[in-house]
Amino acid sequence: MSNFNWFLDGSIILIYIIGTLLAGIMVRKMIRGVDDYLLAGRKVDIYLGIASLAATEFGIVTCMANAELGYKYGFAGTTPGVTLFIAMFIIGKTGFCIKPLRDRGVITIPEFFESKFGKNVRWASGVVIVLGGLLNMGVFLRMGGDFLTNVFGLPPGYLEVMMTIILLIVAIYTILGGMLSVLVTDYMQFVVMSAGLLFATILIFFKFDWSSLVAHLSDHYGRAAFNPFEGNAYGIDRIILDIFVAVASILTWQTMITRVLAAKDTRTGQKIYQATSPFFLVRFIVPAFLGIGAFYYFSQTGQLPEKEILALPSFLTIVLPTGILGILIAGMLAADMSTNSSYMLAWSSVIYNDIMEPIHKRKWSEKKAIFTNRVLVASIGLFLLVYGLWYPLKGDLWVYLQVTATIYLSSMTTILIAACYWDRANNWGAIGAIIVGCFIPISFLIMQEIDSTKDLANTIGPYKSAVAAYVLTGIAMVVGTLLKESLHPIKTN
Amino acid sequence: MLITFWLIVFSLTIIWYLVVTILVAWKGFGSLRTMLNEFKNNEQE
Repeated sequence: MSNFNWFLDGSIILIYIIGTLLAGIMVRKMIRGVDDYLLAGRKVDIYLGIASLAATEFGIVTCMANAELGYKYGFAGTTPGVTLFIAMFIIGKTGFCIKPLRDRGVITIPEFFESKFGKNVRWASGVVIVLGGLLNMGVFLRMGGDFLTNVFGLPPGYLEVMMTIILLIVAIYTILGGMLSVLVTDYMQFVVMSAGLLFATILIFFKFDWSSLVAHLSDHYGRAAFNPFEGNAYGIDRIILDIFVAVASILTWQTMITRVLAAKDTRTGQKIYQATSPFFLVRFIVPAFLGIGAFYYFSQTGQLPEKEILALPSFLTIVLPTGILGILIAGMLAADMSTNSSYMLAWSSVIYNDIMEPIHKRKWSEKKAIFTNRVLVASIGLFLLVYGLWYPLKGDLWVYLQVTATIYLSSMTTILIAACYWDRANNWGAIGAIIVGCFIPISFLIMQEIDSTKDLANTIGPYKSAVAAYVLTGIAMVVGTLLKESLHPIKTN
Repeated sequence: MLITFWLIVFSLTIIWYLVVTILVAWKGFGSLRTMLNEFKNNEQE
């Protein structure tokens, strides 16, 4: 039985959507060039940077997936948040890779690679980033739609229509205002999202007392619910992969690194990372706690949901009162809209700046360049609609996300570290890293689909194969570089 | 011991989130206004 009230909760949501749309559209006239459109003229300071980075990296998908981790593993399920928090703080503090990247004043990571490895590596990197990024993002709308349909208590047939409307709203302000609109709306979205999440978490904390929740976890999962190293529930393979993914995504995930590149100077970029790092713990602990609450509640009522990933929306609509539910849904919508807008802009920036560079050669007028970027954002929106909504995902979501992220993260991280700190690194090593980084995860996905190799793929498992991709990509970088040095000892690049 | 550890982590996380939300809502608004004014001035030049 849902507590959602169309008049009260619906009004809160409607006011929020209209406000966001107006704010996003109002700033469109201030855009004068590509730098303004893609990086807001590099004027981002620390507070705006925190709001934007936090709002972008917290979407409905994140919330549902992390609640599922809490539901299935207890507090051990927050391990990825712990690794992300530590990695982001250390990288922000030391400036590891991000300092040379921001100092160079580039728009994207592949642009940074060009000076060291040449145009081909820049182009190939752009392709890999867009491939991995778009495939990864392709499932966001579907999961967001599932969440909203569930909390509104609508029949599944409304999913497509509702998410299409949301995507259209996001696309309109992103197409018109670019990064400037994204920043303005991210700020609003951060405030609304945080208010909704904090309200819901504090309310549930007092509604179901802490000792009952942890006692229930202890009864079902034992000590493994509080310690990921205990037993095989979470597993050491997964912890190692969490560490690799944390470091790689903080260094190279385009939507994260864009905040460093858009910062007004390198020091501010580093401070944004340091100050936002605890949010990556929040990003896991808050949804995991809600997932733990859902596990407790449904175990007591004996109505455990068929799909664990849908436990959160069902739980929230039952336990949260009208009004608070409206604030939370507006918050979740905020989270989803900020994620989609930033992601659309991030991938379009790579397509324009790196993949299309051989076409425009930076000679197009600002007007033509902005128009092209707007067309790219619209095309990505269209792709998301077709891929995410009209083609429902087949197979395991977790494996899918791992594979698509690894295609991009493993090679880009290796190449970035080599570009910053290994003088001898050359384009053979970089190309080798890109090939290996793509080959391993895609092979794993194909092996899972073929009957004769399915068992082998299951024996290896998604975590070991993804870890292997990171390690072998590093080896490919070294081997490729040394091979070129031995065959072409004089001309190294 | 582990349960106490998670209670402390959870409480600190919520307190941090609450403080940062208020701080960012307050200071971020000023930052946003300054940034938009800069863009507006550039537009008029």
